[in-house]
Amino acid sequence: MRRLFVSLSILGCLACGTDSGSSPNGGTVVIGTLADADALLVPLVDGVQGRTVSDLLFDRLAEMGPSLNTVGDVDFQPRLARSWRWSSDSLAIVFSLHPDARWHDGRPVVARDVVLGFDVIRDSANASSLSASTAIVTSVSALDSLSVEMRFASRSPEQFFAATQIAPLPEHVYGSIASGALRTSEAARAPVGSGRFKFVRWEPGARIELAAVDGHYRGRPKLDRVLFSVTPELPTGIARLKAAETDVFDPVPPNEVADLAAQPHLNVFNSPSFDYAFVAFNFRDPKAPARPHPLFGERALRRALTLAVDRATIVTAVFDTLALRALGPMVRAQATADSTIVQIPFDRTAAESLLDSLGWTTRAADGTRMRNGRRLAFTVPFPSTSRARERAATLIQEQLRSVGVSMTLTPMDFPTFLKAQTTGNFDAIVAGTRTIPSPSGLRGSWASAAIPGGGVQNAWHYESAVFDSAVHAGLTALDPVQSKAHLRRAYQQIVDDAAAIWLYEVRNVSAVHKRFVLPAWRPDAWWLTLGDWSVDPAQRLPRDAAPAAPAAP
Amino acid sequence: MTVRATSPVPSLALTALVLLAVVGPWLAPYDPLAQPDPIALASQAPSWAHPFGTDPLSRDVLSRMLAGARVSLGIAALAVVVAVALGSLVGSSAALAGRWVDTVLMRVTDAAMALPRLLVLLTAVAAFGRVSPLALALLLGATGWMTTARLVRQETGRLLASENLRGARALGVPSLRLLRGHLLPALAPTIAVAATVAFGAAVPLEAGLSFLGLGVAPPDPSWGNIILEAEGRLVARWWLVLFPTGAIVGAVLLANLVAERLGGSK
Amino acid sequence: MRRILLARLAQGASVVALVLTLGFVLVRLAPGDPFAASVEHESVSPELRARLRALHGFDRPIVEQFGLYLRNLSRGELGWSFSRGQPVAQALRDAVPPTMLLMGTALLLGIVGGVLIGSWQGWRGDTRASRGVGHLTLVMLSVPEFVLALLFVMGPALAWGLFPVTGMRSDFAPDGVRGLFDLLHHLALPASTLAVIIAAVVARHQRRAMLAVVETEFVRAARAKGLGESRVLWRHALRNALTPVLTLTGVLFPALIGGAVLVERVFAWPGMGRAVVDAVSRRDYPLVSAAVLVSALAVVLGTVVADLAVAWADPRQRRTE
Repeated sequence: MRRLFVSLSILGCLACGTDSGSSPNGGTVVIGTLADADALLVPLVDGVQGRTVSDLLFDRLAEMGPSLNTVGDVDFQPRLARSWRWSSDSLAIVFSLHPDARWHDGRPVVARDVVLGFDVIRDSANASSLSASTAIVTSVSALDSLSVEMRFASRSPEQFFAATQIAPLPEHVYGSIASGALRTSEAARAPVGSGRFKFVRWEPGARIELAAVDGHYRGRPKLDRVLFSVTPELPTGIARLKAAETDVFDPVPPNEVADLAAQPHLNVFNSPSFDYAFVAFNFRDPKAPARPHPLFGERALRRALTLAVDRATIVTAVFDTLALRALGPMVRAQATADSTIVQIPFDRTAAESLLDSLGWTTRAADGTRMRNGRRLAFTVPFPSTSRARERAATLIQEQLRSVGVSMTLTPMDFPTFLKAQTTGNFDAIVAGTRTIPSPSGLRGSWASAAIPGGGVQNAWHYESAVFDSAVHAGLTALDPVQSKAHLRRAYQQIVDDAAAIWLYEVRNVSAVHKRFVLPAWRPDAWWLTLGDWSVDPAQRLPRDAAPAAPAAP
Repeated sequence: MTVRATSPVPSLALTALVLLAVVGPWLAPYDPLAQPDPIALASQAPSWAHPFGTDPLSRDVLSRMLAGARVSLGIAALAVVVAVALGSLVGSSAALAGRWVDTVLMRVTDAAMALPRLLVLLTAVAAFGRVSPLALALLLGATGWMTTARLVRQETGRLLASENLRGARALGVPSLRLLRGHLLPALAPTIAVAATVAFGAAVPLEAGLSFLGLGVAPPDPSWGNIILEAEGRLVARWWLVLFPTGAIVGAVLLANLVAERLGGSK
Repeated sequence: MRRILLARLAQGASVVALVLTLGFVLVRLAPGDPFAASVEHESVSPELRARLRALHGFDRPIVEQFGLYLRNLSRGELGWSFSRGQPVAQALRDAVPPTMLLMGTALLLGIVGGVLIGSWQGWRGDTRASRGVGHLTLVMLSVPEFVLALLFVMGPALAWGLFPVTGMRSDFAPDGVRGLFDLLHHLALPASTLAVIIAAVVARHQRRAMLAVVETEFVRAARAKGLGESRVLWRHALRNALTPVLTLTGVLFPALIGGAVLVERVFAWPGMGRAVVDAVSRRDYPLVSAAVLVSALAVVLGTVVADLAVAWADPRQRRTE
C-alpha cells in the first residue's frame, strides 16, 4: 500500500511540474540514531551524535567549505563572522560579527560571546576536547561589541582552522555559571544557540527535537522540525527506517546497504568517510614497557605477518564494495592523502619463507610455528561493539592460522577496550580511528613525543625518527605542495615499517527518505546542509504537516 | 503421576544430547573454523553440501552447531555443577548451623537474588576482559546458586525436623556425618530438580549474553553466537536463527521435562 | 501481622544495604571510566580523560568513593548520570515509570492468563487437551525471551505492519485518548513477550496447585453435594489454589527484571533495563548504583508484599510465623 502510494505520488509530482520556487516551507525530518548525544554545547561534546546536534544549534565564526581544505582561509565560508582581517605579522585575526546574528532567545550575538566560547574551552574544569586543537590560540579579546581579536602563538597552516573550532556561546546565559559546573548545569541541557535550528526538548535516551528559527540571519530553514530518535539496537533501527518511522540513518552498516537501496522509499548515499581501521603491533612489551615487544620489536616479523594477510578479501568479505583497502594512517578524503604509496603485497608463500628464514621453523602439535621453544602466538583485543572489526579479526585469525601463526581474539566492551588500548596492554590490537580532514592527527596517533604534540595517543609506541621529522615538516610547511611531499615520505616510511596491518577505510553510507530534496551531499558532515533540505510537496507525510513543535512535557 | 511424566524418553533424549556434545566434533562434516571462501560461499542457504547453510564467513553451520553443542551445553553443565554445589553448601550449612549463621547466609542469598543477574554478568564480563568458555561457566554458576540454596535450606530444615533425624542429632551424631549419611541421600531429588532447572536457565542466558555481544569469544562457536551471525536479519538468514534456536529450545525443553519428572515423582 | 511486617522490612533493609555495597564495588571492578568517547576520536586525549576522572573523584580509593556516595545518598543526592547527561534522580523519574508500566502490564496479563490456563488444566485433569496445553506452556518456557521478542518484531510489527516497531510513544504523539491508544499500541508487543513467558510459568504452578485442591475432601464433597461445576470451581477450588501463585510472584520478580532488560533493548522501550545496559557499557557508575538500589528495593518490596498477601490469604501461615 505504501509502495503504491509512493509511486503514485511520484507520478503526481511529474504531472504537477516543477514549481519548487512557490512550494511552501515545512516538513519534519526524523533522524534515526543508535546512541544519544553526550552533550549539546560545542566545547563539551565528544561523540558524533552530540556533534551532529550541536552543529545544528550553534554557528561558528566560519565554516570549512565542501573542499575540506583546512589550510589557510580561502576555502572557509563566513558564518557568525561576516568578514575577517589578518594582522601584518599573521599572528592575529580580527573577526567582524554579523550584525543580524541573534541568539535563539532574541539577544544579538556580540564579541564577548566569542570570548566566552574561548574561555569555556580553556577552563580545564570543563575538560573540553577542543582544548588540543585550539592550543595555538593564545587570547581572544573583544575590541568593540561586534569585533573580536584572536591572537596566535605562531604561524601555522591550520591557524584559521583552529580559530573556527571556537564556537561563540551566549555570555548572558552561560557567563554566570561557576567553573566546573557547566557540564551538569540545567542551561547546558537546554542550550540557547545561534544556528538555523533551535532547541525544543531532550528526552535522554529517546529523542531530541529541534525547530526552525524564524528570521535567522542566514535565512529560515525550509524544514520546520528536526527530530533525533534513538533506537539502541541496530536491527530495530533499520526496521524503523524501512517502516518510514525514521527518515535518515547514518551510517548504514555494509550488510544492510543492498536491502535498503532496494526499498522504494529510500535514497542511499555513498560517500568517503574519515574512519580507518588497522591491526596495530605493540612495539613495547606490555608487561615491561621499557623493553621492545618480544615478537613485534622485529620489523621482518611484522612484514611477514602483513604479507600473510589477504587484505583485499577481508575488505570484500566484510564490506563488499563499501570500503577500500587502507593505504596507511590516512583516508582518501584527506587533501594530503597519497594513493601512490608502495604497499606490502599479499603473498602467502613469501610470508612463509620469510617466517622460515627468521627461524620460526619447528611446529607445535596444533601447527603453530615455534622458535627456541617460543610459540608464534599472541593475543589481540577488539571492541565487541564493532561487528566489522570482529569479522575482519576472525578472517585474519584464520589466514594467519594457515601459515602457522596463532592469534587469540579477545572481545572487550568499549571502555575495557579503550583502557587496554590507552595503557598499551596488548600484543596487537584491532584499532580504528576517526580522523579529520586535516592530517594533523598523524602527530598524536603515530609520531613520537620527539616532536611537539607528538605521541599523545601513540599507544602502540611506534617510533621512527624519519617518520617523525617528515610529519613535523609536513604539518608545519606553509606551502601545500611541499607539505604533501613531506607527508608522502612519512606515509611510505610507516608502511615500509609495517607499524600496523592497514585494513580498511570505510565508505560512509547514509539512507534518506526520497521525499527530501537535497543539496550536494557533504561527506564529512552531511547534517551541515539540513537547513537547505526541503520536502517534495507531492510526497508529504502526515508528520510534515504537523504544526509547530509542542512544548516540552 | 501420569504415563507421560514418568516416561524415560526425556531423560534418554537429554543423555543423547549430552553424548552428541561429546562426540559432535568428530561427526562434523567440516572444520568448524575453516573459511573456504568468505566471499563466494558466505551466507549460503541450506544445500546438500551444507545441510544447515553457511555463515557470513563461509563456515559450515552444521559443523559449528555440533562444535557449539559442546561449548553451549558444556558451559551450561559446568555452570550447573558450580551453582548446585554452591547452593547446596550454603543451603545445608544454613539449616544445619541455624541461629545467626542461618540468618546471615539467607540474607546474603536474598541479596544475591536481588542483584539483577544480567547486570552482574555484564559488569563481570567487562571486568574480565576476555571470557573463556570456562570463565563464562564459572560466572554463570556463581550467579545462579541462590534458588538451589533456598530449596536445599527448606528441604534440610524439613528433614531435620523429622523424627529420626531429630533422634540422631539428640544422640550427638556430628553434622558432617549426618549430612553424608542421612541428609544427602534424602536431598538428592531436590538437588536434581534444582540442577535441571538451573540448566534450563543457563542455556538461554549464554545465548542472551552472546546477543549482547559478550558471550563466547570468536572463533569458537556457541549456539548463541551463531544466532548473532544473523545480525538481526531473522528472515533473510533464517538458517542462522532456526537451527540454533531450535537446539536451545530443545535442550531447555528436555531439561524442563526431566525436572518435571523428578519433581513429580517426589 | 504487624510483627511479620516489621521483621520482613528489617530483613529487607539489610538485603538492600548489602546489594548497594556489592553493586558499588562490582561496577568499579570493570576497567575504564565514564569518559570513553563513543567514537575513537583523535581529539580525546588521555590527559583530558585523566582530568575528567580527577574532576569527578574516580581516581580516589574505592572506600573513600563509597563513603562519599553514602554521604550524598543520605542527603538524597544520587549524582550525575554521564550516559544520559542528566541528574540520576531525573533519569530514574524518566526511566522507572515506563518499566513499571511494562512489567505491571506483563505481570497482570501473565498472572491472569496463567491462572486461567493452569486452573483449566488442573480442573480438566489428565486429558489430551490439557496435556497439549501443558506441552505448549513448556515450549514457551524454553524459548529465550530475546528470540521471542525478535520474532514479535519481525512478524506482527515488520512483516504485517500491525504494531509500531519500537519505542513507547510515537515521535509526535497526540494528546488525550488518542495518545493513550498510541501508548497501548506501543505497549502491546513488549508486554505480550513478557506476559507469554510469565503465563507459562504461572500456568504450570497453578495446574499443580489446582490438581491438589481438586483431590481434597471438601471439593469432592462439594461436587458430591451436587453443586454446579462452575460454582465449585470458582468458590472453592480456585480461591484455595491461589496461594502458591502469590508466593511465586514474589520469586518471579528478580528473574523478570533480568528478562525485561533484553526485551526493553529489542523494543527500544525507554525503561530502566535499557538505561542499565547503556550505563554499564559507558561505566556510568552513579546510574548503575542507583539502578541496583531501585531494583533491590523493588525485589524486596515485591517479596514482602507477596509474603503479606500469602499470610493474609492463608490463616495457617499466620499462626506458624
